[in-house]
Amino acid sequence: MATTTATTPVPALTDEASAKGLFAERARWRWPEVAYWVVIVGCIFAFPTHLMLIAQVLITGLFAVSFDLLVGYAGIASLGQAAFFGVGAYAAGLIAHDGWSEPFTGLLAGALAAGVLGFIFSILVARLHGIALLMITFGVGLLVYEAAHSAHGITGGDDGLSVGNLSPIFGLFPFDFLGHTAVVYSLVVVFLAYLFARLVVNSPFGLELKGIRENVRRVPAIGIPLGYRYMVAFTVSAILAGLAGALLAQITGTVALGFLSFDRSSSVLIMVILGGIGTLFGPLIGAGLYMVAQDRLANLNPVYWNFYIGLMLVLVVLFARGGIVGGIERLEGVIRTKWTRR
Amino acid sequence: MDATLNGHALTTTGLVKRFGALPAVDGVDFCLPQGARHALIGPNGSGKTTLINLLSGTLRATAGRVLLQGEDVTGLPAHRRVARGLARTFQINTLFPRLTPIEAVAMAVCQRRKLGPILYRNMKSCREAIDESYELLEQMHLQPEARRPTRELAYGKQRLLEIALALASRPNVLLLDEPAAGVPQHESSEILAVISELPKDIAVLFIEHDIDLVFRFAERITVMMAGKILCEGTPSEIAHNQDVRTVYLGDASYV
Repeated sequence: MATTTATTPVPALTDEASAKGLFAERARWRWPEVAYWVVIVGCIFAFPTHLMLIAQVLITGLFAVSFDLLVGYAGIASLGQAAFFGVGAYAAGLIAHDGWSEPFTGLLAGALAAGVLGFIFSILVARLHGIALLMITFGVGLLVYEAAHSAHGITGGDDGLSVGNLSPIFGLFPFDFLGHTAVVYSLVVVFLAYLFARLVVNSPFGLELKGIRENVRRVPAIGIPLGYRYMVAFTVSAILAGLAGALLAQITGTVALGFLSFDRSSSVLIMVILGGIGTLFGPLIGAGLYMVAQDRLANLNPVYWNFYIGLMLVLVVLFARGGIVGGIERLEGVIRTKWTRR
Repeated sequence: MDATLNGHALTTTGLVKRFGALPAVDGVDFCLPQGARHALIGPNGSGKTTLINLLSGTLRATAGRVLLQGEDVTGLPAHRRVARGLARTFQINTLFPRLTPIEAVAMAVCQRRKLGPILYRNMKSCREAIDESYELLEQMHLQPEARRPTRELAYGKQRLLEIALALASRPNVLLLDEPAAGVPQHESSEILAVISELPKDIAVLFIEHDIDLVFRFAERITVMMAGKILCEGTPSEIAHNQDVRTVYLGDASYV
């Protein structure tokens, strides 16, 4: 391997090769990213009694990824991401509730319904930034929640919606009580959706999203139509969130108002910050840790567990900027400098 | 009438911009011929930057028209004017702090190549766009900094990146808002070299306070004063114009 120093990571290459190679480097799989999927698969074998929890970790991870696309890449802050998740869940739930029990159609319905809502969102927020954006996404989130709350006849309101039995996947694998089918189903769907999100952030479109995040006022001056980019960013993010919601509805067999709650919108923000905003795999890891921490802490202290979540958030923001991924990268930097000094 | 306008890269007729009751640009008729090297000067607050903002579409005009290559673009937003060959830089660095120069330029190049809306293709496979971006960086002497986050770049280098971003859209009209402002002397020569090497077919309109620089590059000069054009002419005409001297030397009779 070429000798490396801290200041110039790849001095063995020419300026040209190193500059042009930056895009390939950005798209490369990082080891914590690979590790996440290895650990998940490992957990499926190691904890056969916790398969439903693992499936929920995966689904929440996808939800966090969908939010990172918006907040971490396009720099669009939102407090209404749960609206997409919930609408996806209700769409998938209703389709099964009304007798169409094929699971993939349900996923498609969830993604589609959320995508349409995302598109409408994008038109509402097209020219807004900062606080105004937070307020309107928060407001629309509440509207969607209360709409579902009051439409008792369709959504079941406070009682929730029973999804009913899904038919076996490909007609071969029935959903079982222990969650064997559910976890594999979730793993495959979330992994494919993650690959898609990865493709998006490493595309020319993804690069423009980063440009929008870095300087929203500057991008029109290099020819980028802001409105259209917002539209696509919102729609794609909503589709992935809707997919996550649909998955959760299908494997748990119920949809409750909690799917749409503000709590869900705010906790996904915590997961993204915890894992490392704008890194895609960071939020995946952040969601996993959040879920596990929530599970453990609630056992420890069922009343005040939010205290520890709050503490964790404060510590990360104060001392570990960039979240878990930021921390790992700094650690790698330290190790690399020590290694080369030797 | 159109026949006379066709010879010009950029024309304005009766252009007005009011902020409330205050006219920042007050009835400007202005022509920029193809391939021109034209300087826009005037005291602070005379409306130079507002005029540039109206030309680029950053601001909407209150009244009047802007014609680009003889076509009315007054109602077009900034990004549509870029697509029609009008690019600009900004007076204060308004770049992408955490993006590297190669990424920032590639973003602009991809947009011009109509790759911007594509979200199912990996950036690394857009070889031609990347090659073109690197060539632009070379042209701006930015290749050693290509991989560093923009916010870590020296100020002069950031000014060069501004120009690279504008050139990435392959403009035929380039508006430079104080390209060398705030750059230390030893770095400014590089910027001057870059500006003087710009292709001859690009019409350049630049705002500059450094009078030496203006007289070195400009073929024609327009002087603005309180939102209006005070006078226009060759550098020597302007140098001998009594009104301009009054404005710049601060005659007591003018307030």
